Amino acid sequence: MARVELNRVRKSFGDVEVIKGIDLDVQHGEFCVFVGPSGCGKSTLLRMISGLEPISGGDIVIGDEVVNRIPAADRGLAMVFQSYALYPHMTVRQNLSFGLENTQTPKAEIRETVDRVARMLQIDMLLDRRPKDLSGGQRQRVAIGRAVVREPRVFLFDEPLSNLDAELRVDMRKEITALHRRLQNTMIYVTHDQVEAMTMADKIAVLRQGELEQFGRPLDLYNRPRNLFVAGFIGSPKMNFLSGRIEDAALRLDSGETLSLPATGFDLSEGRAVTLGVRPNHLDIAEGGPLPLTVSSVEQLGGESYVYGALSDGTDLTLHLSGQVGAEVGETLHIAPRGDEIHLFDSDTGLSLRRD
Amino acid sequence: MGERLFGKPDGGSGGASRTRTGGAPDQNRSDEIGGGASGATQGRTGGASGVLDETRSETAPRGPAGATAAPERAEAPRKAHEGRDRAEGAPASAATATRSGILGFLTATRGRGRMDWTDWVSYAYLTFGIFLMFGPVVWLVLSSFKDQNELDRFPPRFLPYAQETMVVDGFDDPLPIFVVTEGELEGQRVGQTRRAAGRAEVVTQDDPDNRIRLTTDQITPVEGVAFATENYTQLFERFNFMQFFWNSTFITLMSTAIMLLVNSMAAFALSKYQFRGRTSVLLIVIGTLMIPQTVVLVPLFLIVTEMGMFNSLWGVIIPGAATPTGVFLLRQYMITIPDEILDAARMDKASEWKIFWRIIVPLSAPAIAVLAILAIMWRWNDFLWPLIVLTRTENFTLQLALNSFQGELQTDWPSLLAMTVLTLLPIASVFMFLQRYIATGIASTGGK
Repeated sequence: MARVELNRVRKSFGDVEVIKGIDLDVQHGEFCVFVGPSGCGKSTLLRMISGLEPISGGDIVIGDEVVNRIPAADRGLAMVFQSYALYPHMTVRQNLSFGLENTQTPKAEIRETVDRVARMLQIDMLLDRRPKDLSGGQRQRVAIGRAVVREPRVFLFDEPLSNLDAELRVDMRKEITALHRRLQNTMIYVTHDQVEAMTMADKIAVLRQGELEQFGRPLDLYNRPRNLFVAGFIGSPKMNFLSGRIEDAALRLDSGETLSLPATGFDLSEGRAVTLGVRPNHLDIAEGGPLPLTVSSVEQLGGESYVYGALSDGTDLTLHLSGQVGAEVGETLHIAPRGDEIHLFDSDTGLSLRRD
Repeated sequence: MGERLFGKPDGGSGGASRTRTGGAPDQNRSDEIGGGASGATQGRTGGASGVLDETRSETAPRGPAGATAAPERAEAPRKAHEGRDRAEGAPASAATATRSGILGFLTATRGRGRMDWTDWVSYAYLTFGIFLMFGPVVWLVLSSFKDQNELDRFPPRFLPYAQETMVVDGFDDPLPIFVVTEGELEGQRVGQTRRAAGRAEVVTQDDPDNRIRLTTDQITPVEGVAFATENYTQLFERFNFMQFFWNSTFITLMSTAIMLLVNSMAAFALSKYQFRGRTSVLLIVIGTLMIPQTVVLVPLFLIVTEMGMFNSLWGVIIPGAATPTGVFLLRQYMITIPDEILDAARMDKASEWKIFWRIIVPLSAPAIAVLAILAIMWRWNDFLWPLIVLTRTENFTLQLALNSFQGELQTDWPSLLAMTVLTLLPIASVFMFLQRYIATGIASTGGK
C-alpha cells in the first residue's frame, strides 16, 4: 500500500508562502500529475513529498505513516529529475547500482536487477558508457532506470520530459505510461504541459500560486472545469471566453449579441456578470449563427482546420473544425456554439455556475 | 493534441535535412583534398576558396614550389573538419604529415609559407621568453657539474670545463696537462709537476724522469668539457642526502594529503549546505588571506611548542593543513556541481558522508588536482616555517640543508648547486605529469 496523502501541507520561504495548504489523496497505483503554470509550486510540492524540501506545516502521509520527520532517503521513494541528475563520473551500470549499493544489497543481486531493468528500458547495450556519451533520450531512460531498480513505493517525476525534443517526448510519454501499467506503482508526475497531463494521468491536480484549483480525472477536468483557470488551462487550443450578462434567462454578450442558454444545468440569476466558455471544437459555422466572426487567419491541416478571428468588440475567438473549410481571411462567418457544450462562470469569482 | 500531430512530420523532415546537409561538406572536402594533394590541379577547388587559390597559383611558381604549397592548402579543410574519416584523403594526409606534428607547430607562420612581420615579432618574443625562462635553469644545471675552480673562474664559461690530466710513471696523482707554446718543446703536451712563482716544472710522457723548468707564460692549460659528477656523488657520501630527501617527501605528502582532506570537507560544507552564518564563516576564512604569515609566526611557534611538536616533522605538517586559498578554490568549483545530483544521491539513500566521497570528491577531481599541485609546490619549497620548527640536522628538509651549505665565511657551491638540481627534479616532474590537470581544471571551472 503506497497511498500518498497531503493534509493542509504548507511551505513558506521566509515571509513568502509558496504552498498554501494543499489537501490531496493519491490512491495506491494511481498515476497522478501535478500541472500548472511555472512558478505555481508544483515542483516544490513534489520535493516536499520526496523529503528534499522540509515542510512548514501540515502532514504528509505515505502508506499509513506520517513522514514529516523522515529524511528523504528513508521514505522509500525514487525521483527522476528534470536535468536527469545522472552521476557524470559513473558508468550507466554504476549509476543504476548506486542506490542498491547504499542499501547493502548483495553484489550478485544488484547485477541481476540492473541487467533486468536495463533490458526492460532497452539500455542494456549502454551499461558501460558514461552519461556524457548518451543522447538525451538515453539519459532519460537511465534516470528512469535508476528509479526503477530501487523498487520504490512511489515514483516521483519532476518535469522529466522538458529537455527532450518534441518527437522523443511523445515516445517517452508512451513509455512512461507503459512502465506505469507494468509496475502498477503509485507515480506522481510534475509537468507544465497540459498535453502530458491529459495523456498520462489517472488523476490531475491543477495548481496555481500554491493552491489546488481542481483535482480529478482528466476528462472530468476537461468536461467540468471547476473554475475559469482550470477551464483555460486544460485543453488545447485554449477555451474561448466571452464575457456578458444574464438578461431574461439569455446571455447578452458585451459585444451586443444575445445567446440563448440551456434552461437547466446552470445557476442563472438575472443580471449576473458571467463569462461564457466554449472550446474551439464546440463552435460551428452556421447560417444565421448568433456570433459574427471576422476571420483573421486560417490554418488548414487537411484533416482539420483552425480558424482565428475576432468578434465585433475585438474578443478573439478560435474555431477548431474537422475537415477542410472554405473560409477566407477578412470574411465574416456566423458561428454558433454546439448544443449544450458550453461552460458558464461567474465573472467575479471565476467559479463555474454549473449545478451539480 | 496538436503537438502530437505536428511532432512526427516535423521530426522526420528535420532528420532528413540533417543527413542531406551532413553529406554535402564531405563531398566538398574530398574534392578539395584531392586537388590540394595533386598540387598541379589547383583550379579544381570550388567555392570562395577557389578565388584565393587562383591568385596564389599566379604568384607561386609551378613545379616543386607548387608542390610544397599544396599540403598547406590541404591542411585548411582538414583542420576545419577535424580530420574525420582520414582514410578518405590518404594521399593528402601523407603529404600533410610532414607539416603537422611538432615541427609544423614550431614553424607555423601567419602568412602562407612566408614570414610575416608579426611572425618575426612573435618568434623573437617567444625566443626571448624561452631564454628568460630556461636560461637560469640551464645555467644552474651546467654549473652543478662544475668543480670549485671552474665555479670561481672569471669570466664564467657556459659549459663545465676541467683541465685534462695524464698519468705519468713515477707520479702517484695524475698530472694536469699543458701545451708548451714557445721554446724547443713547442707544441708538446706536458704534465705539470710543480708550479711556484711564475716557474713551472713539467715532465713529458715519454721521459718522466727529466724535469723541465719553464716559465708559466710558456705553457697553456689543455682543457676539455668534463662533468664533475663527484658534486653529486659526494652529496650521498659526505652528507645525509637521503635523510633530507625523506624528510621533505614525508612532509610534502602528509601535509598535502591532510590539506586536501580538510579543505575539501570545508569547501563541501561551505558550498553545498545551507546553515546560519555560512557567509560569515566563508568571509572569515577568506579574510585570513589578508594576514601575513610573519604576523602569526610567533604565536604559531608558541602553540606548536606547547603541543610538543617542536623539532618534529608534524610541527611543519599540521599548521599548514588548512589553507584559505584551498578552501576557496575548492568551494568555487564545488558550487558548480548541480544540487540535483546531490538530491539524486540522497534519494538513492546515500549518506552525506558517502555523497562526499562518491559524488563530490570524484566530480571535483580537476580542482583537487590543481590544489594538490599547488600544495606539493608550497610544502616542498617551504623554507621559513621549517627553519623555525626544525633545528636538528636529522630533521632538516632539503631546503634547510641547502641553506646550511651557505656558511657565513664559506659556501660549498658545488654541493649547493648539485643539491639544488636534485631538489628541483621532483617538483619539476610533478608539475610535468600533473600540469594537464591544471589546464583541464581551469577549463572546466569556466564552462558547464
